[in-house]
Amino acid sequence: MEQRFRLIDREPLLFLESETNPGLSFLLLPVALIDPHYRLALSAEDRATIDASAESHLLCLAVITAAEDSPPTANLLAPVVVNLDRGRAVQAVRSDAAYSHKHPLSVEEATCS
Amino acid sequence: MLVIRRRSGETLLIGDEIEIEILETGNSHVKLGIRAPKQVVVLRKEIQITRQQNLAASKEKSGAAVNSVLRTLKKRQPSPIRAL
Repeated sequence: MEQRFRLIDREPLLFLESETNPGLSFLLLPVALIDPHYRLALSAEDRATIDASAESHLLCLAVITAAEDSPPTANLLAPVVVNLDRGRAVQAVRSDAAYSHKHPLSVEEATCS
Repeated sequence: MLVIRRRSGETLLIGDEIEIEILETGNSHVKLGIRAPKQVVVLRKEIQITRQQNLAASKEKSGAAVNSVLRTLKKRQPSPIRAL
């Protein structure tokens, strides 16, 4: 399993690129940009994994699935939470069914005219 | 779907080798004990979904796919505010 990733900021997009597997990268977006009301309660275990304290600067990102043949979706079931102070991140898998793992990015269907 | 009513401390069997015991119940949760052979994978469903979605998301991203994400973002109203 790949454990070391580089976080690359290409506003508004972010990329997580594997440091050990050059072909492996993920496209991400800040969760707040997809759903401003998104709330996540980080479990004690996940908090410990990223060394988070109350003062930590955390970034909550959604992994985007972008294929050419289908509209892009965001995984809001399992956001990636980054502790910017420590350079650690965890994929915080929700156990509630509040959010979809294939949340459509587009608000409305594209129309043909 | 088969629905079975069980109480705390009761057990049910799946096949010959899988045993599920209801250890504890609460208002919104159930604690289960699972006995199964080592080769049987026991997984919370959201973990499996996440694994599959990560695989789909890790597929080679063409410039066209990334551009479609950017186009989708541009179309959104109100204009996105980057929250860091």
